[in-house]
Amino acid sequence: MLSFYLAALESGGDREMFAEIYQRHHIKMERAAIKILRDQSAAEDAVQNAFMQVIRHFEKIYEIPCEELPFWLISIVKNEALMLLRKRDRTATLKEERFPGGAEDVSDYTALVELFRSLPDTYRRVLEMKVLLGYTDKEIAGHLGISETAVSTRASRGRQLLREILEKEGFQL
Amino acid sequence: MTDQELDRIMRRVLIDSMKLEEEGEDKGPVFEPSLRHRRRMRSFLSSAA
Repeated sequence: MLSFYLAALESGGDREMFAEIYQRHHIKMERAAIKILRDQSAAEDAVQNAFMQVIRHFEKIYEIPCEELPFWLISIVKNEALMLLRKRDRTATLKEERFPGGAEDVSDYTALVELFRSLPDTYRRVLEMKVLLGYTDKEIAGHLGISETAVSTRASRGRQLLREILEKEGFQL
Repeated sequence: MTDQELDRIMRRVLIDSMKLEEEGEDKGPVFEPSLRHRRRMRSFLSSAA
């Protein structure tokens, strides 16, 4: 199946680039998958599925700055791992979690990053898929098993939180 | 601030939060690829050559 996907890459250059991406980043992706799934076989499936997604969205590779590529890849494998987790355990469906406050405690950029790191997974996944991966609401909804409305709500709450903090603190980024 | 500018900053914040998370990832389960996985990936990569 993987080889079938690989054949979909248009040029030999793309295929070589893909192989290089695999060699450079697979260990981090594997680590991210096993951390979520805690099951070797499932983690292997997540990694393979992630590489299929990489091929499907390969045209985006050329638009991603080199230093951001590892995070783009990790975000993809996390999505695949969470999808498998959801299929394996229905109770693992991302629940509607209360959106945290905390904007008032943010006084510098480090605190802002920490706040976003501590967002419930259900919000972070949506923001990562939308902003980092450029997925549509429909794609995100399919991945997370939630409605498109829920995707849109979560994305706008995340943006609203960031806007509020930026306006309050006047960060220059 | 436009939505585009906001998303650019959001992108940076999300990446930095992932970096932060990655720093604390040394502990935890270890990925030990099965023979089947190694074989599959090897065959996959050889078709890229």
